[in-house]
This record gives sequence, C-alpha cells and structure tokens, in this order.
Amino acid sequence: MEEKKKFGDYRDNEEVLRIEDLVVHYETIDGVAEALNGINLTLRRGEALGLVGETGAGKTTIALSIMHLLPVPPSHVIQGKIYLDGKDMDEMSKKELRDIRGKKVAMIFQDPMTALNPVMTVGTQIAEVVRLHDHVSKAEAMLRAQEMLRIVGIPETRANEYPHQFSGGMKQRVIIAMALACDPEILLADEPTTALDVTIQAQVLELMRNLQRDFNTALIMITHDFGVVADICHTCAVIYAGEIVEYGTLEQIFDNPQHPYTKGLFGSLPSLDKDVERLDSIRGLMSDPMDLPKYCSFYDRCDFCSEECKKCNPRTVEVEPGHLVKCVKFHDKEGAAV
Amino acid sequence: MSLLEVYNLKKYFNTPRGKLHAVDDVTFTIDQGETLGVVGESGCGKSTLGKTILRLTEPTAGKMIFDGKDITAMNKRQFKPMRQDMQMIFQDPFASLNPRNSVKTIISEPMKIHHTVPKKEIGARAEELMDTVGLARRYAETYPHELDGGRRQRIGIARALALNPRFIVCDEPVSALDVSIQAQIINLLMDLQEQHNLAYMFITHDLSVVRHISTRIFVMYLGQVVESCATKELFATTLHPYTKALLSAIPVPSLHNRREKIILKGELTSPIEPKECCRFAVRCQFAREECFASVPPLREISPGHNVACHLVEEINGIHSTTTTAQ
Repeated sequence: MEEKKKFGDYRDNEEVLRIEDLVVHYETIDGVAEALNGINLTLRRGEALGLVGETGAGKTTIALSIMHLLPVPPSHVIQGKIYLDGKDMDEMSKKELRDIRGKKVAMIFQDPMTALNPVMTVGTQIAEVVRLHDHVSKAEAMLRAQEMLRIVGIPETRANEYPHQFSGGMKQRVIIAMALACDPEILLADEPTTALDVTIQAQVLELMRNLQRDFNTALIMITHDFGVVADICHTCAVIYAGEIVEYGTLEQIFDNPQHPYTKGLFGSLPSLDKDVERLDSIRGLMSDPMDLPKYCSFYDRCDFCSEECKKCNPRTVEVEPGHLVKCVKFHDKEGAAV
Repeated sequence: MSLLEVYNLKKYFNTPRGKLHAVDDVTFTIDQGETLGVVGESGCGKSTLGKTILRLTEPTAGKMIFDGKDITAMNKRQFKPMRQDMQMIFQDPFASLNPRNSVKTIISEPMKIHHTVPKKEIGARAEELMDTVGLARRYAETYPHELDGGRRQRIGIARALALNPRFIVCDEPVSALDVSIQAQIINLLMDLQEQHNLAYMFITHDLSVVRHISTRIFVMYLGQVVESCATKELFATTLHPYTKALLSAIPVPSLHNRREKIILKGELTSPIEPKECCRFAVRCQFAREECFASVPPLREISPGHNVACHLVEEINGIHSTTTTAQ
C-alpha cells in the first residue's frame, strides 16, 4: 500500500526534533492550569506526525513550545527539554531563536483570515520572510515569493494583491507558501484546514502532502480530525489532558487502537460506509486542567476503569514495537500486543 | 399531507453589485417525524434556506405551507402562533445565547412570550427541559460563559423544545463541537426526535453526520438543489458530479476502503447575478458546451432520485427514458 511505501522513507532519517518530558503550566487568577503534563516526542526528517486531540488537550501549546512562542506569563515551562537537531533550545540566545523561527521551524496557523497582514500585498509578506532569513536583495526576495506562489498553485501575477482579494482556501495557500519559503526542516501546521470547506480542504491537503514529500520536511499536523491524519501522516499521537495517551504508526492507531480514549474517539465518528444505529459517544467532558486528578485523567469517562486505575498515574507502556499506550490496563502487558 | 411544503422558494439579496441568489427555486416537503438533511459548502444558501422557512428573512418568491396553512404571506401577528411549532437550533452556541441571562431564564423565555405554560409552572418546566437534554439542574442559575460548548448547545436545544414544537431547523448544531461531544449531541437529537415525533431540517456541511441522522438528503450548490433523494440511495448511487466530488473529498478516518479523490478545480463562483447556465460547470470535469448554454432542470432519474445535470445519464451510463420532475 501507499502508506507502507511512505513508511519506509523516513524511519532511517536523522532526528530533527526531540521533546523530553515537557511540562507547561498556565498560571491564572483562578489557579494553575496544567496544560502539558510530560510530553515525549521525536520527529525525523520527512516524517509527518499527526497530533490528535480535542479542544483544550494541549495541542497548540506543544506547537508554541517548539516555536518558543509561549507567552510568559501566564505560561511557564516547569520542566522538560526541546532539542532541535540535537541542540538544547533552552541554551539558545534570543537571536538564535529568531533565526530559527520561520527558517528552520515554520508554522501554519488555523485561521488564514487573521494570520495575514491586511495592509501588505501577499508577495511582500512572503518576501519579508525570505529577506529576513536569507539576506538577499528586495528584488531577489520578490522573485522567490512569486516562485513560492506558483508552487502552491497561485498565479504569480497575484503577488501584488492584498489578502482581502483572496478567498479562504487561497489565503491558506499563501500562508503555506510563506511557511515553506525558507525551506524549513520542521513545519508545524495547527489545524490548517479546519476553517475551510471540504472540497477546498481536499485541495490544500493534497498540496501539503506533495510539498511535504518533495521538500522532505518534517511535519507536525495538529488536528481533531482522524480523517486528515489518515490522509497525510505516517505516525499519530493522541493527546488527552496534556498527555500523549497513545502513540504509534497509522496502522497501529487506526487498525489496532488500544487506549480507551482512542477507541472512544473512533466510536464517536459517524461513518460514511457503515450503518450504526447509535454513536458510541464518550460520556462526560474532559477534566478541568485546573483540577486534574493524581491518577489517570480519563478515569471519569472511561468504560473500562477499575479500582486499579485510581491507585497511580499510568505509565507509558510499549505494547508492540513503536506502539505506546498510557493506560493502567497495560502495565503488566509490556511488549505483548493485545 | 406533509408537515411542511415548500414550492419554488427564492431568496435574493440586493448587493451593490447586483442580486445575490442565495436560494434559487427550491422545492421540497418534510413529513412529521422525518429528518431532511441539507448539505453544501459555505455560501451555498443552506442557512438562508433555514432562516427563510422560519420567516427570519422574507422570501423573494415562492410558497411555504406548514400544517396546511400558507405561511408565506402571514404578518407577524398571524405568524406568532406558528412559531410554537417551528423552532431553530443555531450553529454557534456562543453567539446564540444571551450572555446576561441565566440558563433557566434563557430556557424559560419562549414560554413567557408565548404563554404556553402558566407563569407559576414555568420554572418547573424549565428544569424538566434541562433533565430532558441532560443538563444537570445545578446549572440553572449559571450563565452561558461559565459552560462549555456542548452544554451550551444543550441549552439551545432545551430552548427550542420549550414550546413543544413539531419542526426544528438545526443549523449546523454540532459543527462547533469536539467529536466526543458531537456524538453525545447527535444521540440526544435522535432520541428527542423519537420521543416527540419531531421533524428536523438538518443543515450541515458534514456528509458523515448527515448520513447518520437523515432519512432524505438534498445537496445544494450556489443556491440550487443539485441532487436529492433518500439517504441510502445517495450514498449507494451518487449521480451528480458535485456530490461525487464532495463525497470523495471527505477525509476518511480509516486506512481501508479509501475512495479515490476527485480534486475539484477552483472555488465557488460568485452567487451574484449568476449566468443562465449550470452553476457547477466551471469546476466540473465533464462540462461541455451545453452546460454553459442553459440551466439544467432538476429531473427525476430514478424514482425519488432527482438530479440537476444535463449529462447525468451519460456520466453514469444510464439509458432509460426519463421524466422531468417539477
């Protein structure tokens, strides 16, 4: 299958990003919101990782941590390290970080309507990134901007137009062009197609898939839509209440989900091919990040919970090679797939 | 007799650049206890259609009959009692609730306006409604901003149910919600329909949701219905090229049975003063001269399955003689 072929491509590549035990809290008047509670992730060149979770799970906080764009206050990195190409980002100076943003790590934001400057032409906006990082002349930067527009399927003659002259899907293409203008190693896409219609979403996803393959960029695709992950990613991490509860390849997550939350998410989706009388919804709501339990944070909503679950915070267990599950049920099943 | 009959409904808006054809010549019926799914992308006129039926905007032309009464030309006073039977659930659970009112006040308001329940009993009825939609009574005195999207949408549903309506327009009621909450609300809506024999007009852009909840579907493109039939039929034999593209464009959360994607060229054209031709033609891979020459009528291709496309027989290899619907 196509997936299999893609799978072999990136696995031998070098690691471009490693996140170790990242803990981020937001300190607010009402208390401390525990946004991220020990995130571990690695990303290789050419790998596309899907980060799936619901509102408030901490997806965007992960992306902003990697960019070092978390607002301080209210956010505080309590512990954890982020390594970019093996270099500890905490030890980088402000200037080094500035050089990295947009050059080495680029980000695509969810809302294409607000991510562009309304009083600058799109060409100038793309050229600005190029000039900042590649130190070329204005004219050269503009040429590069036009080339990028062509790559994302916009006629270069439109470089002199303003964002309001573009439709939603076209604006998102402009943002993708801007993000890729400096040939980044890592692309963070935060719900890039959520604001778009399905037929336009299909266009943008196809574009991103092709560009990711051609440029061999490492991609983190943040989304709440398993469909988007199936379309574009190699690996997938499911986040719940600031923790990765399940991680694996697409085959492992889609064909053999193990964590009750992942199973619940799949059960909640109405299908296009299967007839289901009633959706298996997950009961209740996500725990308040200001008031997380000391044990498994999914306990209250879990159909499989037992007394055992209340005794400790679950460990992350490798149930089969590369397939990680954070659930008490698997504590004694290390290495054995169920 | 159908609960709601709509004939040749049109809604045009005046804009500086000309008339915007938001809803153009739409005809349909909805029976008691049935769900009609209306599917389309942003700007196709599906929300305007819902609002026009409830007389929240005035129709430009056409006829609407609810429960045997012509509601098209009713004035405000005449229409007020009709509203008890026709309610709406809105897409945005943040914008559709008054932030200054408590949950209980919001749910009570329709009963106060329509005097359907004696004043003394309104409070109790509101609490009953909260039970019905699965909202704990301890939230009665809270305000919308204190609650999450799923709970707010439950308030909107309770408010819509307050007058015991027979027909509810659900305008993207689950689009703003997370999937696990979305499933809860869809289940709730389906339970309520069964208990109260409600008719829904379910407006959405999400074909998998609409497949789950609807008995019949119609697909809209730039104000017009391009395909309409029973839900099962639509997914088994998709005929219109737009519906096919729409179906194939949905990201499927599975690694198996993956559909081949039809990637449409271009984007929605402007609905302002549209040309007298097939509105989908510019994006259609099959489009020919005749598609740009005249508007394709909605024709019954097989019993109950209507398609507006000149080339539908040719594209799908259908040879039988056909009759014109409408």
